[in-house]
Amino acid sequence: MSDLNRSMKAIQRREFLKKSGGGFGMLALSSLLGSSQSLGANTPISFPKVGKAKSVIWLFMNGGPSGLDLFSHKPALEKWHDKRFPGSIETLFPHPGPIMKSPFKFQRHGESGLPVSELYPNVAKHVDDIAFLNACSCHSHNHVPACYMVNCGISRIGAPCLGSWASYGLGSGNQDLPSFVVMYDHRTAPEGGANLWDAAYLPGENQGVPFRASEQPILYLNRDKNISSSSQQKQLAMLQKMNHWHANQNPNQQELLTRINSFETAFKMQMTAPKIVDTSNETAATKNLYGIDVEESKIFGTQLLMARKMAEQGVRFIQIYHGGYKNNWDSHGGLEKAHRGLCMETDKPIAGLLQDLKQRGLLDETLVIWGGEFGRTPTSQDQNGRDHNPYGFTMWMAGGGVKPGIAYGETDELGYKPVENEVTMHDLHATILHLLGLDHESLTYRFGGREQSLVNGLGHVIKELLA
Amino acid sequence: MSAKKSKTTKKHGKYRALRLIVLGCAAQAIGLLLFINWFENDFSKHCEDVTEIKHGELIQREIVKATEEKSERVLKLLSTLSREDRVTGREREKWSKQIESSTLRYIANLKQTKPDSISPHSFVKYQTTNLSSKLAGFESENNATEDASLHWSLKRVSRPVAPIVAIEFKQWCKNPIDQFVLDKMLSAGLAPNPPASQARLARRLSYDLTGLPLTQVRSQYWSEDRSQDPQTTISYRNYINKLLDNDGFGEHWARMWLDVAGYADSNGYEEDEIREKSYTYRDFVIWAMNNDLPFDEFTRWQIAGDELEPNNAMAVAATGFMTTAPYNTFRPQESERMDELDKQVSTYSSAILGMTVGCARCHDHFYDEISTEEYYRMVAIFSETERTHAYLNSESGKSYRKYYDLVKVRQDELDEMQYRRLREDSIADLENFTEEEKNILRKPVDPEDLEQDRLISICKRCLDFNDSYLDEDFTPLPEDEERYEKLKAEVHYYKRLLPECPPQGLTLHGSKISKTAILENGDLKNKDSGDLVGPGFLACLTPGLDNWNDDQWQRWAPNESEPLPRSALANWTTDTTHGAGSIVARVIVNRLWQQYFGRGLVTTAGDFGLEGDIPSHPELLDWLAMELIEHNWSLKHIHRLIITSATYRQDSRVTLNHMELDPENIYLSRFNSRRITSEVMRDSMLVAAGNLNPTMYGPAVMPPIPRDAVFNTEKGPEETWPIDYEIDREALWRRGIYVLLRRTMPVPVLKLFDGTDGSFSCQKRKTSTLPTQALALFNSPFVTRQSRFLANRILEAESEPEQQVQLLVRLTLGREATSSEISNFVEFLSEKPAQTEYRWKEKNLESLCQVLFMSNEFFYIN
Repeated sequence: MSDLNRSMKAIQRREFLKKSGGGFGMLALSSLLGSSQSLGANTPISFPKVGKAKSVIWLFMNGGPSGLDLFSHKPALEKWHDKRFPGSIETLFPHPGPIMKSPFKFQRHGESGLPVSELYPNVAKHVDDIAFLNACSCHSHNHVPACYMVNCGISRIGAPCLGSWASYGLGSGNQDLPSFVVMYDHRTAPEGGANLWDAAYLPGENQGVPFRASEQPILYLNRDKNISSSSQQKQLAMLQKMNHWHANQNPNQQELLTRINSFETAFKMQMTAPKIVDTSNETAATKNLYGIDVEESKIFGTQLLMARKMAEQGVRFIQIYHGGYKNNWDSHGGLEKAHRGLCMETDKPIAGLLQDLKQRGLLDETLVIWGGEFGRTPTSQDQNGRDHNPYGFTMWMAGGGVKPGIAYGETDELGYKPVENEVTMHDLHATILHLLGLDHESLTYRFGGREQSLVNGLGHVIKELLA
Repeated sequence: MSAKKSKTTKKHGKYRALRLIVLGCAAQAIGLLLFINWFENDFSKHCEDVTEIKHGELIQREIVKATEEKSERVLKLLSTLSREDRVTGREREKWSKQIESSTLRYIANLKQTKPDSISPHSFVKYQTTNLSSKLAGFESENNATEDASLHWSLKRVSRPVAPIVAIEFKQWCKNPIDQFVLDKMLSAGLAPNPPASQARLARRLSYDLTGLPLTQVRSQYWSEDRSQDPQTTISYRNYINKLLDNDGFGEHWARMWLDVAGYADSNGYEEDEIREKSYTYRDFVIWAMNNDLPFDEFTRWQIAGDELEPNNAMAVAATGFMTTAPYNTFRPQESERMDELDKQVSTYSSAILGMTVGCARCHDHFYDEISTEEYYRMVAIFSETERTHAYLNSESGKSYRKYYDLVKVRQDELDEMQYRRLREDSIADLENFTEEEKNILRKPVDPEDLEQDRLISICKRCLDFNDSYLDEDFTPLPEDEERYEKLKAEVHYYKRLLPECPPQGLTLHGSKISKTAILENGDLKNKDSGDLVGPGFLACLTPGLDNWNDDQWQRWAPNESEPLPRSALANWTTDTTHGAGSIVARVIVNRLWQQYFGRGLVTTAGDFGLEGDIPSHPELLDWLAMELIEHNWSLKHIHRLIITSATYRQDSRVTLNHMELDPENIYLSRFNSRRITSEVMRDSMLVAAGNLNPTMYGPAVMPPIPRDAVFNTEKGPEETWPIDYEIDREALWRRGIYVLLRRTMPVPVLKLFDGTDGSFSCQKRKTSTLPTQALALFNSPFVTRQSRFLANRILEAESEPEQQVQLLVRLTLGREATSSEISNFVEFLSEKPAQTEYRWKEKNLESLCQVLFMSNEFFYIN
């Protein structure tokens, strides 16, 4: 047995011994707002390096946004407009149409002079904070397998996602909140469902916890309308009395004590968690900043404001899906209208988030990621749409130790495949873990006969993206 | 996604073929029946005593009711329903699928079938006739002394001698298990815990054997004294036998195997469709566990039951094991087929062989002697198989099929006609197209015709039809009219002749011998350059064989003239002399051990390879494996050995000495207390509330979940999964194993408590302790509603607070209440709320019931 293996076993044994440590809420009773004293108390593995990023806010544009119409300006598309694609192109649907130029105008912005289309006027103001990854690839044509690839590093179900790995590696930053939170449009959830934020074989506390911008932010948070707070408090007192009798009769069993604490935390969460969603005390300026005061961007803006508050309070990984089963970025037809609407919903909130983080001095320690599961083809579909392109698409990152104001990687002149600095999802994952201070090679978990990891040796940290 | 939307713009007809079957099936509408059922109040009686649950007759009763009383009762019911209830009734009907009469017959059959009534074991036949001659040369190579340096799990299993124990511990030991355990325990400086009290042990046994709580509290459960009158007392062994014979045993232990098999009721991925008839595999496992189907037969059937015993419905249903892998149905790609094959091979090898073969997909296994070539030989065994809905009984299937085909061939022709009509209408309606262009589109599709290709790319969406566009009736094109009339008449004629549809199940099918390319790095791009290999198994588990060629597998084929790879794999797997039988026996006894003690003798239950853990008690493991093999692979024999051992009967108390010397309890000097699983939690609450519906087998149920928890809502939450808790009644209060498991949307209460979602082969349930679990116990409608039912049950039985709390403790914790509990609980009940509420006493009792449901004692077996 290798030394590494032995040390991993020791870690897992330690984990077993202090099961109490795993997960949020274990020490309980620390106050929700601004709690950080317990940081690291339940970190399963302590890493010597400290990353710049303390948390991640991942804006997942579900359905496959068209980078060619947003950030990756390809003038050659004008020249080739309405002509057949030279050579062969792989699409999901047969019979690809002719090449389609972007219906939107591009302009260069900021000191970096990076291009952004007219769809994202507010995001464009922040290009100097952003690193664009213009040659991403995930090699999976279908939405759900591609979503799994982007989240979990493999195109099928059964592996933990990046958020779970980050939570596992960093431990909780706040005892009263989950370390990995997921938000999605309450109207329709993304396809692929709960598997997208699954901890799979990692310990349960690393599971993504869905948070809703509604009266009940966490499932089962709200009491039945027939049960009052005082009667539940009475219930809790009785329960804990019983549990203590039981624990006294069954001494030296840490799990029993952990469970006692989990009830205290849960009871308290009923009061504290809604504060995260409550935007009534926010100033008009804040609401305006996040676009909450406009109908189109109200939902997404509220979610991003929640995300900022969570990041501030120690939540490690916050993933927000924009677009679900419906109303998503999958513009096979009518791209111009659809993308215009989707950008209206997201432009102000994203710009607001970046600005807010910056104002508060949080951008350096908060990594913001934007992207979908793939991009879209230069060829048209149904005359005015685009098909899926998993070979060369755009994502971007900002803050958290990322080099600002750069464009990394390039696709061919038509924007189909990478010609320079391709970024695979494995590279992306390795880089994100690095920014969080985690080494993708030593962040492993033993399962199914070997040390499993997110990257599995298939990717590397992209040094050029580090500030 | 948007493409899919257009697909569903047209309504019905999607499940055309299915509808056809249903039509032919003279379907007995049982949706209404369940509706009636719900009005019956006699269910609470079922759960009086766990050992007396009567699972039988229920279905027959339903059938009788259906035919005799249906119309009358429905009329009566409808007249007595309030308006609100009628709405609920409709909602109910929507979710309680009509159960076909063939399904009911299938369930009734399942209950009567016993392994004994099945033809003699195929393997026995094969061993006596073929094996000795075929493996003659093989044998001699094989007799060479086994390499001592072999990894422990690859060695052939033999029976070790149980260590002799010191005289003062002779009394303690109940069977050889205890001798093995004691030996190690004493050398670690530990001594056994005292035995658990009868009350504690009775509860433990009830949970461990049936997954159901103890519901009858007695002062004595069995007699330790053999001299007492056997007429009035019952021995420990008989007590255990009653539990082993309980139908709940199979339902509980099947869950363990289904976890390992990665079973779920949906496909996963984008569409995540519910799998029709996937439950026949689940039912097979329950049936096999209850009837103690020998584990070697159980294993072989799961691999190739359809080939080994094509006329045995249970053997055919068993192949469902190979269909559990998730798969994508929305424009699937070749790589996804490879993923599915990988899941099949990996699940087989991890579940049954305890080997992690999946690593060899891309490279030779780093640790174990498994080459990429061997991996692709295993893939070749399954590459030509397919999932299919097979008739579980091939005879009645054939006669049904004859008429079905007569209908189908005509219906297909009618469908083609309809497609022509749709296409023509669509082309005629095209705007901005010249008549000339329209004529090009009318021609058959020709990939070489660039002009046609261009036109198609523009209007493809309007010409892309699938069966969701088909209607029952249509007007054919003029040239088709004559043929249309004739076909319609014939379809009508043959449909009348169609017999009742025999039961079907989701099974594996296909026996072709094929070759597969070895893919370098597991990448399909390397398909053309990879060597082609035929079927083969693992050399490291085949003593005396180092390399496989394309034909060696045939040595295990039962039929020489027509060798079938899957049958051969099945035989090789359980072959204790020349194949993997030794490791198979070790792996399964270890799984049973893990369920009882919370920790396997090998902690990596699915990995016995070099990277897996070494066994804590290797001799005990081998002894148990030999016991299994020599007792005709009877799992119940192993269960009996374990639970009659003194090791199992120890108390669970943890002392400081334990904490210091053996915190993980590797040396088994105490019983490990354990949290109950999510299904057991659900079942226990239902039992306590008097609500558990003991109906066995058949289609899964979909209990309501909160609206917030419904995903994939293409059709809106109301159409995806029931969300109205008013419909959560008897028909849905079946055991957790019958709750539909949808991969992208597992039922939240079950998932929260570490239930599986079938995304991988689960070797052992996690036990996380989280505040979100506590929230679910506080606020989930399931828990609050069952608390209310429990309170009502208690109120009906007892009127005095003292008696009420005593009954409550008995029903939830399976013991008598202590005096301090009684006084505390009575005080809780009598405490008036600040503002006097309506029914405050009842509410206090409901609240207290919930406290008991949430308590640590309720959740832990000790």
